[in-house]
Amino acid sequence: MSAAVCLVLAGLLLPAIAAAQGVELSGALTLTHGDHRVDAGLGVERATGLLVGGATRLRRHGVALTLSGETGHLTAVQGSGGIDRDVSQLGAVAQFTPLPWLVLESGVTLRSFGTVVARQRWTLVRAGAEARVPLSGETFWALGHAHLLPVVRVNGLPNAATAFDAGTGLAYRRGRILFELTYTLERCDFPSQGSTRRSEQLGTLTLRGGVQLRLH
Amino acid sequence: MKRRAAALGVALSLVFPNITLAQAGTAELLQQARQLYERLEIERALPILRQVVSPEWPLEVTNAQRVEAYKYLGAALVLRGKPDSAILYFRAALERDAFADLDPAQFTPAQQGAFAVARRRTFSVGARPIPETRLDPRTGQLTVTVVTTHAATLRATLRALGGTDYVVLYDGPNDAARDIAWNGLGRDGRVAPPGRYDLTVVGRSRITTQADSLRMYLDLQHVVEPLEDTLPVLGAAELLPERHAESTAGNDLLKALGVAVGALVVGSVLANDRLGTGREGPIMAGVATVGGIVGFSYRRAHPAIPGNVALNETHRAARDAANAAIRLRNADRVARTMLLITPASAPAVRP
Repeated sequence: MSAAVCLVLAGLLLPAIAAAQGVELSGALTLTHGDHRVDAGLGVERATGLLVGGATRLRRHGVALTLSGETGHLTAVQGSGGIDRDVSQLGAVAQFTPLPWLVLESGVTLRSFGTVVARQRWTLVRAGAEARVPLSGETFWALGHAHLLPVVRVNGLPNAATAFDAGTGLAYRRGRILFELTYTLERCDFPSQGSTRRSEQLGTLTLRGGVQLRLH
Repeated sequence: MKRRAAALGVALSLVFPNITLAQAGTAELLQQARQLYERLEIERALPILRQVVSPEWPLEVTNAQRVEAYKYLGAALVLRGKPDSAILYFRAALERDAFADLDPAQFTPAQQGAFAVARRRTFSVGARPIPETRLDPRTGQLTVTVVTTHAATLRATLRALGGTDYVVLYDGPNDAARDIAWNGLGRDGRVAPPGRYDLTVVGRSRITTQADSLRMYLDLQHVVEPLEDTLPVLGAAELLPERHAESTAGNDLLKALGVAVGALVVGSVLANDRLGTGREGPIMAGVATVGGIVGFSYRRAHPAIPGNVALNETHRAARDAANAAIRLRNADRVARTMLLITPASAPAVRP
């Protein structure tokens, strides 16, 4: 059974688990604008577009598990020499909240870039933290996050030499309604192969909206 | 004094060999006199009775004993055919105790006739001692029995000591004993305040020109169940802050600007120089900046914290409700005030 199938199954089972365990469940739809840039030694290829998806999060006490999936089409920016690509990704993140404003998290993302000529599969393992600082009234939060990506496995490429992501955002929560707007820059620099050194970067601006349910 | 008593005792023992000094307590002596009287040994009873009322009598004689002695003296003298002297003794009895009377079962009509004459000639008012009384002003009343020796106008008033206001308990004609009542209320209809009270009874004879009065002092106390204390005003420590601090709006703006700066830093410093970055970072920075400014303005204009205000209002309302209930219970306890009336003086003080 592939990792992707496992993630999908886990996502389907989450509500049942939540009902059984009496935990907090939230679900969200995501709309992401992505800007994918690649430099494989032939100049910067750039493609942008929208991705839509969803995420579900199960939280009990200070521990949470988030499963997400997104898919979309990135269109090559004219003049950048790239080609259109379809993007799909599934993610699983485990989170631990040691302090009210700090979330430690670690997860894995399975990503697929599909073009007319090839399909590239990515496996990214990340570990990092997110800070959530409330503004007055505690309906808005200022967000900041950063992760190291110690494992970035891409078919046909060596493991990335340097990889991380970072970003900021704002969150709004009132009652059960949740909204987030986050900016994330994910950067992967691969080891030099001959005279070329491949670099990839995915910048995303994600609007996430959802509801939170407390199940007993 | 002791020597005189001893001498008197010796004299009595000579006259009445059966009576020793040890037995010669006033009560016993009176008992002896009564027994002699009842056996119609008047000649033997009279000296004993005269001794009891004599100023020379060394032992203590209560007013009741003296009145008793006068009554038997009068009765004995009637039997000896000396009604005028009898009337004098009866008057002496009445002057000391306006309640004095002759029991028709024990005394002859002639004796009662003489006593009635004494009544007409003597004028005095009397009042029975008031026992310690617990009075519920809503339902009960204090009853005082007063008497005049013959027909008179009678006025009984009650006044707080040192006060000028008084309650008239009775004002009208009277003959013989009468119960007058007080319901524990002042002239204003409220429960009389605690303190010392002066009950004055003034009588004016309707037969002679004589007048008499007496005064009794009463202590009045309120007996109230202990009252509950109301809950204190909620202090700052018990209430949530209802307004954001002045610095809150500025802090919010700084946090939002932090998000904006962070987005710009991520998009510029952390990005790969060769790849450059898109507009996502600046858009995020713009949204955060605008959001920060809007939040700053909003917070300045709306410093209140509605949730806390509502919670505090709930706490205050709960406290007010609890205090209202306490006040109600206290008012009920006050309304159920009982009066404890105790005599503060001898039964009657002649002014």
